[in-house]
Amino acid sequence: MLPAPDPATVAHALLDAARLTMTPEETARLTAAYPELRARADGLYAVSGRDVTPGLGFDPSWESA
Amino acid sequence: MSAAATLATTTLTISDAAAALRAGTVTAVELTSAALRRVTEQDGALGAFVTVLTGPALTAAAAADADFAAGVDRGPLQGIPLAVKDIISTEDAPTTANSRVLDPAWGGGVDAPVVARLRRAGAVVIGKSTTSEFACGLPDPTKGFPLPRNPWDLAYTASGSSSGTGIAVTTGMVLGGLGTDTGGSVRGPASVTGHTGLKVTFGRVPKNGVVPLAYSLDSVGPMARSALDCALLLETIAGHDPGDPHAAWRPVPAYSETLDGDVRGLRVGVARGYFLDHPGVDPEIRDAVLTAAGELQAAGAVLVDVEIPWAAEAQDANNVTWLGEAFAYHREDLVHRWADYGASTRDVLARAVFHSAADYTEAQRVRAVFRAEVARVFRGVDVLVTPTFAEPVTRIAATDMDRVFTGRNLVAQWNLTGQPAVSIPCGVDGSGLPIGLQVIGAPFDEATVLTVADAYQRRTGWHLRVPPPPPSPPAAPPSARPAVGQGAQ
Repeated sequence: MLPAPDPATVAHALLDAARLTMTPEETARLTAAYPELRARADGLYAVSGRDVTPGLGFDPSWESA
Repeated sequence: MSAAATLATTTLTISDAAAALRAGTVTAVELTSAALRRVTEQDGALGAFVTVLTGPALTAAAAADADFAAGVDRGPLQGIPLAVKDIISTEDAPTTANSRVLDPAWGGGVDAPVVARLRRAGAVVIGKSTTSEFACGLPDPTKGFPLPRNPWDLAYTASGSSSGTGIAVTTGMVLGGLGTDTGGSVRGPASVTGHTGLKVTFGRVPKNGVVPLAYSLDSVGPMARSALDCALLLETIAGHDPGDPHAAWRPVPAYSETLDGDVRGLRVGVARGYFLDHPGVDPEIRDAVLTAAGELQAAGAVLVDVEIPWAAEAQDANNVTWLGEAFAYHREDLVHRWADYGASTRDVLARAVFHSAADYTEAQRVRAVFRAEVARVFRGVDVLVTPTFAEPVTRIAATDMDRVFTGRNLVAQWNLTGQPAVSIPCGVDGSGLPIGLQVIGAPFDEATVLTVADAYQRRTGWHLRVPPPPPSPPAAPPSARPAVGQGAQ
């Protein structure tokens, strides 16, 4: 297993790839916000098992739930 | 005191005004003129409107009066002044989404189905109300749009994104209006300004002609002083439209006719844990909500304590979902017109680049899991109650975009599941600002949600409180503002 990358490096790379013309202050602010956002997204993977089917459409009945 | 005079000093409900119009104690023109006068007097300080439609509103009001005179009665909205959030297309004003980015021709000068239905019912649209840019972000006065302020204390936020309609309803500039809700944007303003706001079941109300924020979460909902008024609005705007693939093919109940104040035997689930008992829930808010639940119990409802698992993860899943869907809509403009967006809007939207396609898919799996858990809970209850917000209202100067993603959110879960949820006022905090009670129902069971809200409002008067007029406006009155986004969010 590879070591975890530096979050700031990852955040910079993702922002650069998006080609958004942000100011250095904006880049710094978003880079600082990245670790928590990443942790929250990672936390989603603890909820569902691999066999759960995504709820891609709204089903007004409770029957499929 | 006549209805028009009452409107000038306090507020009427739609149902009160409808009765007065039919009794001949007020005309639609008098009612609309009083509403417009209030806008002129107060909106410079409050920032509720982007565009005020004085001429078209008075013309529509005169037409409503002519119909009354001719014996034509289009229903309880005839002659009622309303506001429409400025991401909803109207034929008589541009739709700005409070943004320099949106094409001023967006919407093609055509009423969205929800607006067309209001007009067919004889309603009077007096203006396009302020929204957070593209229904996300925070107000950004540097872009030339009004800065919405809480009418109870101008230093505080009116929440978002349907802040303009919320302010206008609370202060009596209008008797009702439309907002949209993707993660709490109807319920938030209703909670912090102190009126009734209903997020409808996904698909209950068509959303074509509305600038999208997140395709799988967006909904158009009524905002008004009372649950009864929301019912009157909902039964007018709900129903299928072929232009919205998500709009449900379901009959529209006569919601207002089912409100009889009777909640005897109704099972009200009090959502504990994340929604009530966590230290992140302000004690004043928790106490107010428990007192409100006690009021429902006194009316005959049966309280049932329930726990709802994965609530925090559902909030995160809603964030991943709306961010991804919104970024897809905005990506090209963000790349090419970054600086044209307000600072907070681009700050929020840019966070989407931190999520992957797998994250989005996983969020939809969380949606399925959470929905199943909520369905299980609903086998034992008819509605749930929670606070609308866990924390007191925020000062405008202290607003922080990080809190959108890290704060304790009690409303976004119901966008993820698509359920209806209403916010009604149930008290005030130590600063004198309103506290909201949220009532959540099963899909397409707006009738029960509104029944509970109405029963509570028959026993209490929180929804009838009206803020004092604000200090003299620091800005020009709305009628002096250019029509398209030249005011100042």
